[in-house]
Amino acid sequence: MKPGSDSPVVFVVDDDYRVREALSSLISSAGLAVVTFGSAAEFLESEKPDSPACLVLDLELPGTSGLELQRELAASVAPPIIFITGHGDVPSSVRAMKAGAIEFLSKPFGDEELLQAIDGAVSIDRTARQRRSELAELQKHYALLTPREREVLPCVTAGLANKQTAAKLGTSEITIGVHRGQIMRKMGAQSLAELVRMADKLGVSRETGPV
Amino acid sequence: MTVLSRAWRYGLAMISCAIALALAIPLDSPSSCFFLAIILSSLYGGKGPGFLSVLLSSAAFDYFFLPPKYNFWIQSASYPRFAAFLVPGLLITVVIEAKRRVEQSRSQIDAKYRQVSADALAEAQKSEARMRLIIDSIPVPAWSSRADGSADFINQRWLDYTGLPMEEALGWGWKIVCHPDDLDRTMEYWRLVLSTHEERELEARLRRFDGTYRWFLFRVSPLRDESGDIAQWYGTCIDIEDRKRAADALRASELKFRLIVHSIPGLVATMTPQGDLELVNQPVLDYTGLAFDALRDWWATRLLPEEELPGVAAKWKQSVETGCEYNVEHHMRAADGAYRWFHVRALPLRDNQGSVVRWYCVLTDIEDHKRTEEALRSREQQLRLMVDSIPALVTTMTPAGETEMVNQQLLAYTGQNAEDLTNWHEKIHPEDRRRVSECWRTSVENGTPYEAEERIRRADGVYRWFHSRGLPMRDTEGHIVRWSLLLTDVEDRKRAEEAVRASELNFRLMVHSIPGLLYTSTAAGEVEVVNQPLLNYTGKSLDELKNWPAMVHPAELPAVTSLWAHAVETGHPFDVDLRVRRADGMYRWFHARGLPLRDIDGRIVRWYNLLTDIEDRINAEDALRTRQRELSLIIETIPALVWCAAPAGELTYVNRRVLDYIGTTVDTLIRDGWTNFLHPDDFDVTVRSWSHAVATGEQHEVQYRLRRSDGAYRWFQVLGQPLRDSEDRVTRWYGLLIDIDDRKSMEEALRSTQTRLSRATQTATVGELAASIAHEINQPLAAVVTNGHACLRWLTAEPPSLPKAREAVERIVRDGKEAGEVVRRIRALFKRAALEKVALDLNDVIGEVLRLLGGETTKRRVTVETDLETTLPPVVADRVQMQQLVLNLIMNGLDAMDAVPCHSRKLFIRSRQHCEDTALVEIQDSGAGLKDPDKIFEAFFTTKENGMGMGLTICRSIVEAHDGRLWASPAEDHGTVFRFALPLKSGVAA
Repeated sequence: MKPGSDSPVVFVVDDDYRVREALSSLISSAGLAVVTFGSAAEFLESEKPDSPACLVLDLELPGTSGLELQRELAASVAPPIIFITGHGDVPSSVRAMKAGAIEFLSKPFGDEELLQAIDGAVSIDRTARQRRSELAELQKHYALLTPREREVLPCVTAGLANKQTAAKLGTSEITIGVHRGQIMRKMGAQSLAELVRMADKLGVSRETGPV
Repeated sequence: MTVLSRAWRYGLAMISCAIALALAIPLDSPSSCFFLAIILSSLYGGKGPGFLSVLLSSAAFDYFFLPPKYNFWIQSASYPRFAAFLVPGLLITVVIEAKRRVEQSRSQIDAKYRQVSADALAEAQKSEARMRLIIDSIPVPAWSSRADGSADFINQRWLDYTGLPMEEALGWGWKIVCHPDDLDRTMEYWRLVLSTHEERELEARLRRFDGTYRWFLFRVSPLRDESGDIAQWYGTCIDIEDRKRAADALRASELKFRLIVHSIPGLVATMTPQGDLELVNQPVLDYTGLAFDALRDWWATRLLPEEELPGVAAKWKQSVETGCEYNVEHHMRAADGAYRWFHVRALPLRDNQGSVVRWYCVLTDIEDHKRTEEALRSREQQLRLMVDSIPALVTTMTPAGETEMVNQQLLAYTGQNAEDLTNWHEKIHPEDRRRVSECWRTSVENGTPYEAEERIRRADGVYRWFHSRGLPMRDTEGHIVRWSLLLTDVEDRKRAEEAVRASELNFRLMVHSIPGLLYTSTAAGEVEVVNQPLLNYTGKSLDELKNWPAMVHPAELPAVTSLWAHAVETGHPFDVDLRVRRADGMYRWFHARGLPLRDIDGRIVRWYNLLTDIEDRINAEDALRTRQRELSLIIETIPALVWCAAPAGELTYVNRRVLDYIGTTVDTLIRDGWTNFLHPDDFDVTVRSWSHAVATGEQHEVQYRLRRSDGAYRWFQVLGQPLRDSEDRVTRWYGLLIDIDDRKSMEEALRSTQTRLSRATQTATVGELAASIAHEINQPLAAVVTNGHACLRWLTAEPPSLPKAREAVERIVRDGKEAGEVVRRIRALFKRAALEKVALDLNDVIGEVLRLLGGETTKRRVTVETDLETTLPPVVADRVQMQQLVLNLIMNGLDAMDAVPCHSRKLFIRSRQHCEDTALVEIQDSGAGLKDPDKIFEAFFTTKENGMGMGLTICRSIVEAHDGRLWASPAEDHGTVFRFALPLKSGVAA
């Protein structure tokens, strides 16, 4: 097992103890950390470590079903889901995939299938985490901007000249220039292109066309 | 004493002392001289001078003669001498004084005496003179005489009366005026007086101046002198002529009186004012046979009986003392010793001063009177007793109407005293009072006998009826003296009368109320008396009813008439049914019955006839007859075989159908026995059931095959019911044979179809369960595969981990076994084995099925809860069928919940022992519920799209094949509860 917060964790939720045991053994044999739960409620209640993770979820669960749990988790930050099921009917699988599941496996399944799916899920999760942290960083920077600067930013990323921006916002060019510099500095962008990319990531809209 | 005399006396004393002194000195004898002086002074001077002389003498003695001389000093040696002088001197004085005093007094007395004597003499003389004056003046002749009796003074009056001159009368001269007859007496008297010196009286006549003699009372009283001798006699003569005359007259009258007294035919006696017997008349003496003297001590003799004596004596004493009239009745002894009653009345005779002079006493012989009185009293007593004892209340009243006498009975009845009964009005009952007073007043006014009945109050407050009758009692003039009333107790009679009246009323009422038409007819047969109902019914009057044939229905009239005529002739009671015409014209049936009343001789007096309305009965009889006919028609016609049997069980009746079916006759059937026509296999059961029924009276119900006339057997259901009387005894058996042959064969067909169907359903169920079965197997299978992969990985890991691989393999083995188990169970569930009823625990069955359906319940998101009684005793059932039953029910429940939101899908399974001998299992779902809990058990009824509708039907047939019951009912909130009850294995205690 690899230590550190970067080491991934696999969550397994299945009501059948046999399946839980088997999966636990299998996943640990692959060198991954694994935590098992008997029901959706158990899973929700538990504290999850801050590391890349994925969720192996049985479709048929007592109380809250697998699909329901998926829907619930979709509302928040959740690890990617791999569904396993004893029934394996098409409508359920379609629904699961549409809802964003990584994989849908029916029992009995092969180990490769599962492990590959897990790997994929973990990397997706890792990427997602990274992107999230990046985004968080950008947002932190963005938060430093003053309201005025936030007004200027879309114009700048739209490619408008300072003069045009100034005319649009009703200030002087120089002021715009100052703002621009501030923006660049606060956001930590090395170039306009970078700024534009940042703005896109943040979801800041671009101003359309010159006035 | 005058001053002069005093001076003289004292002077005397001094002089004598001086002289004594003068003498003493030369004589030298002081004592004698001075003593002389003292004597003289005392004697002639008195006390004062005496003592003065003593003093002077003593002084002189002392001065001149006692040493020291010429000195008043007395030396001690001279004391005796002085004393010897002084003391005698004093003594002399004192003695002389005393003596002098005595002399003085004596001479005083003498002088006084003489004075007195002189005075007395003078006085006597004076008084004598006065006396003479008085004597002269007193208005009676008076005189005085000397001790010898000769008159020495005669007063003027005497002289005037006699006309004699004093000189003639004096001495013994007065004698001439004495009456010659009285002279001797007078002298005698005088002599006596003189001799005895006692005051005496004499009555004698003296001649008046005109020659007539008058009686005088002579009184003398002596005058005694100092020596006590008679000095003088003084006498008076009081004219008592008138008195004498009066006395004479009195005496004469007394004599006359005495005569009268002696002659009157009554006992008369006179008594002194003191109460002593003075005089008795002859009859007294004659009656008592005693002499007067003897009678005088009347209280001592046995004149009065001893017991009466004290009372009489006391009364007499009282009368004598008080002077009141004496009025006593007592016995007095006659000469012959017998005692007779006397009424003694004594009145006092008073003089002018009012003091009693004499008692006059009359003794009346009241013996006879008393006897009569006694007789009367005893008679009265008897009468009273009679009056008191007669058993009636008797009272008499004054003519005015006031109560006079009441007898004891009346008092006892009312409980009051005679006094209280004066207001007899109160005793009468308030309601009767006015009537009674009216009646009484009328009687009293008119003098007519009084008669009334009223209620009188008894002592205890109860009122009783009395018949009172009063008659007036008249005297000779016809005036009413008294009313006598007799009151007799008629309460009981009244009560009896009341009772009779009441019973009469009762009877009358009865006669008129009995629900029958009553009438009497004469011996000849004519209607006499009818009761009210008869009048009401016919609406005719008595007279109209005498023509009774008009009332009878024409159809019956001839028969009735002849019957009645026959009865009247022979006197036999008659009975007939006939129609009688009602008031509104309708005829009704009546039963007429007539009985004759015979007298002592056997002759018919009267006929008593009763008509009873039998219309309804007739109608009922008709109706009954009709019904009976109908009934037998029914019995013959109904499409069933009917039989009747006696209580002991032998056949008494079979209907037409039985005979037709069996193809025999009643007699043959009864003779040969109906059991001959039973199918041999059913013989025992049937006979057993029938015997049991006959014995116990319980319903007989059995199915058997009965042979038809053509020899074929058909199934019949027989139902035998007993008919019981009021005491619950079986009087008859009624039986019904229903042809169930067709039904039976249909049942068979049905059962076989059902069995086939259930098999088919089983298969269908298996199909339904495919998915769940698959899931059930899949789980362990998936685990096995995963464990296998894991094992391989562990083995190929860097470094390999043998323990982990081992664990994986072990899990493979375990899970694989489990999968095998599941398969086996499913196989067992659907094995088509024959019914094998064993004792099994329902809880086990339920558990198995639940395990099987675990996946299904999970898939459908159903929460399963169980409440299985652990001490549930076993039932006897086929395991497979039980499993199928439970499976079907659970599946049904699951299906029911498909429409319900996932989170509220609950399956609740409960098992418990119900009563002593039943196991109850409940399977409850939370579905929508059932509209028709019974319809669901019908074959081919289903609410599911793809359902066959056989599941529950099969369940029910399984349960019923196990002698159980399956039913459904709505659950409390929503959903349905399926319950089935199976009998517990008998013999197993709870």
